[in-house]
Amino acid sequence: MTPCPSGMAADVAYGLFQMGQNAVAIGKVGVAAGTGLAIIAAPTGVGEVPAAALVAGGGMTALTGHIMQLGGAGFLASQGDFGPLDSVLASTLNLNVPGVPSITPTNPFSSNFSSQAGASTCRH
Amino acid sequence: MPSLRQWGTIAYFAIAVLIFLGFIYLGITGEFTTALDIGFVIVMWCFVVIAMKSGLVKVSPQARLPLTNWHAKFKVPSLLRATVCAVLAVAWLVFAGRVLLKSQLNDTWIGVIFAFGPFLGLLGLFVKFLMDGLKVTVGRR
Repeated sequence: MTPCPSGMAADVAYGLFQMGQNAVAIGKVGVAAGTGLAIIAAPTGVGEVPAAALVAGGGMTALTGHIMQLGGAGFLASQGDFGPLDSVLASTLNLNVPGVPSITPTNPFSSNFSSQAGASTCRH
Repeated sequence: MPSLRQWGTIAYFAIAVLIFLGFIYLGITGEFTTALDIGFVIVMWCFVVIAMKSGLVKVSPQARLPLTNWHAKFKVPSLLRATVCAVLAVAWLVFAGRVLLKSQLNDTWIGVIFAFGPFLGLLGLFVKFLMDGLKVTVGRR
């Protein structure tokens, strides 16, 4: 069995993966909030431009977060920890990596955020 | 004392704020799922259309339905470059992870810089090309 990734580079990769998760969550909320603001602003027309900026910024944040997530998960998978990759695939494509126990992604906004590392089969 | 029209506007914004707060509450106590995001937008859109049609909020005759004056402009070459940068960034980290494992450089600064330096560069290019390739504008009424 491959040992769990360790060392500075693995720590950075775990951090990158978690930052990506946060960025995706924040970006998605930004898109929804911006769209909501734009809808409220529709009768008056005031505030639609900032709302559009919020939507564009949120979308970009979410996409960048996905790349960070996938990058971190890919790095860790190449070193033997398939948990983060499984978590990304399960949450975005509803797929599971064979042989990895299914992991339910947790909400980065919830109070038990520190358990995010539970996405890894190596770190808890 | 506010006029009937002002009361309508106050009620309109009060209900909109309540829907917003409901969305934030459900997201924090549960999870900000895609279904919740989309549900919130649909509920908000329906509420605003009903408010406009029923006269709860006074609108000018030229006022259009929510979001109909939004325009997204795509530059395909820039978006393709962004996609290539994203794929390269992820592929680079997978490759670098394998190289660091084989060469046992995981716990060195050289290893960290080797893996994440190019990744950050490619991620920056991805954001740059994405910003070039996608513009959301609001049309004139």
